Amino acid sequence: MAGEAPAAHRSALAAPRSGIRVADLLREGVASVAARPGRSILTMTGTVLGCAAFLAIIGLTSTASGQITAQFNELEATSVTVVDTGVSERGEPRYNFPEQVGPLMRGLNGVVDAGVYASLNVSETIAIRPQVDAEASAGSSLAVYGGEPGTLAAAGVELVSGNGMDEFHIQTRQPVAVLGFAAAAQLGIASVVSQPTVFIGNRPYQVVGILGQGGSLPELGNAVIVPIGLGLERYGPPSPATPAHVLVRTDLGAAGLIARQAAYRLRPDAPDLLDSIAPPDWSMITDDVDTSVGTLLLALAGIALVIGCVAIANTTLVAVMERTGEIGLRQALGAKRSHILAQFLVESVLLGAIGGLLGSALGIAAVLIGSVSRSWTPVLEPALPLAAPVVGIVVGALAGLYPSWQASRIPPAAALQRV
Amino acid sequence: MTQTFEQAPPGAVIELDGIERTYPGPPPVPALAATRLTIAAGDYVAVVGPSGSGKSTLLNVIGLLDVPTAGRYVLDGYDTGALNPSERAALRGTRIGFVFQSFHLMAHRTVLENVALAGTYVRLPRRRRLAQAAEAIERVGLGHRSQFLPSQLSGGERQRVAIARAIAGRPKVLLCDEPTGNLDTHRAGEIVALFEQMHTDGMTVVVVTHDESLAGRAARQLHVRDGVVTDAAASRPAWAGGV
Ligand SMILES: Nc1ncnc2c1ncn2[C@@H]1O[C@H](COP(=O)(O)OP(=O)(O)OP(=O)(O)O)[C@@H](O)[C@H]1O
Ligand SMILES: [Mg+2]
Repeated sequence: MAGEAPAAHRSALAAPRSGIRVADLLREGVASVAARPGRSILTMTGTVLGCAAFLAIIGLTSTASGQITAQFNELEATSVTVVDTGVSERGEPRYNFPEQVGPLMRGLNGVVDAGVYASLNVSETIAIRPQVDAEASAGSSLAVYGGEPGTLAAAGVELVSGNGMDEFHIQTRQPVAVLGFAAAAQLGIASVVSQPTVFIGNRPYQVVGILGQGGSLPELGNAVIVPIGLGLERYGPPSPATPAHVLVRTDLGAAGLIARQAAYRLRPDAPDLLDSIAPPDWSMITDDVDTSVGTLLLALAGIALVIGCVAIANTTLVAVMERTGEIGLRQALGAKRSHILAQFLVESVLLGAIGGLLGSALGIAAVLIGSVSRSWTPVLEPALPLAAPVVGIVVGALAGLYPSWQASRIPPAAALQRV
Repeated sequence: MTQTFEQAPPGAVIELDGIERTYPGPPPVPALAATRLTIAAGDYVAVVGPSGSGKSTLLNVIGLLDVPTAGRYVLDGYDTGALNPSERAALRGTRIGFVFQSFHLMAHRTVLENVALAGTYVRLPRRRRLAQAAEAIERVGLGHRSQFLPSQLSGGERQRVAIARAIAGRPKVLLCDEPTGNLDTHRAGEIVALFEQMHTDGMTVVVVTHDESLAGRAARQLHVRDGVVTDAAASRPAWAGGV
């Protein structure tokens, strides 16, 4: 057939190909969603409520389980105390913690900070000028403690002056001291700027820090705290009546676990020499409530999400029917079936994503209102608010699949016949 | 009747050879009988015929909106039977502008946005689309309405927006199915004037119409009856080309 020659020639040239820019696809989707704001909002309601409910339930549950109440504050909830038995296997006074408790404990997952504190047997006077003040300070209430930098951090007590001890002081047993606020007042030291020195007996200790008030170890208020290693070396082990303690500050909710691990971490060879005291497990008290009510609420949130999914699917299906003419028109302008599918999928995913975002905001608001109204500290896993829009996107995509597929199957000629 | 494409006018933009369209039943409807038709570039063709005769079917096949059940169709030199769906869609989007009886404007988008939809599916940058849309809107005399919504326009103005959208991408062929069907005589006259202007500018215009006056002003008339297409000047076969 000679007649085919010119046409065949032309077909050999690359014919143009149909395609759409991603930005245009998104813009079309946004425009369609924004064109019917009332309907879009109604469509999103289920997704919004579902996501909000999920966030609120999870947030309020975690807030409640990390709660500050009169009997049980956050400091306590995250405190683990490890107590030395203070004696050797044969009953002689002995310090049983290893050197460098802080770094060792910080190696455990869930430990924020940790450090040892031990009341030392010091009978000597504590003074700024050993000869002059000896009599004045006799009978004073000052105590000498061995400690570590981690002790102060774990106790939540802040330095009002100086930098305090560091690991170098501990390791090299530097004669330095940190003063509790009452001890500093009694000694008349307000600041470390003038590089003051205190004498215990006639041994000088350079003051490197002064503590403020507060924290969970009030006994340190009138203490002179020296590096633990140095203190033990100079003054011997604490008496078994007042044995050494390790204070561990944990992440919220990790206290129970850390308490079980601590003795093995510190003395894997002889964990029996140490006793761990965990805070009362609040979640155990509320466990019954949490599991039954929480599961029910989560199930309701799941149902809300399913309803949200169905709502988006329904709206998109209606939109496909309503916009049959538009579908035909887009095809007339060069859209392929896959472009029509993508168009409606983008719209349903947008509805889901916005619904997820709104739900996320609403859920956070609910957690905040719920906790502030009881003066609780809101606790929410930071990834959760981000998860909500992702859930919304999944809901939207699932909802849009069938209607979009339907839309893409409408032949253009038929679509355009519709008014 | 043994002529081949070699004898077709060199400027032919639409060449149908033995094109048939039978809608699958039951019962099967042979809406278009074996049709041989050539339309030259720059032609102004009116398609007339009774309701149900197959005019829209013919236009849909020409516009690549529908696939013929038999025959060969060459559009602007491309043998459309050999194209994949993506190429067909793109050819439709670049070579052909459509105007329908119902205007198919997106109700929530402005005139400018409606017209700027042309070119979206051949990856034309938005800026280009907006520029060519503005120009097309000027050409149909609606420059002062480009930020209006379709609901704020009269029927005639809406159809002019649809025409602007159809011509924005400067297609070779303008296909119109009953473009004045929803308009009164006066508005219809404005639309017809626009088609004549497009024709004068060198565009190939094919109009399906019931409107005698519109059909009468076309350079060439095709009659469709029971799926058979004939030239109005009955002495000439339809494939022989215009004027
Ligand atoms: N999708 C379809 N399925 C089956 N038959 C169809 C379909 N579309 C059209 N037909 C039939 O094909 C024939 C031609 O239809 P077509 O729409 O081309 O007519 P028309 O000339 O455009 O009519 P009108 O002037 O009323 O628009 C008619 O008999 C119609 O019933
Ligand atoms: Mg028709």
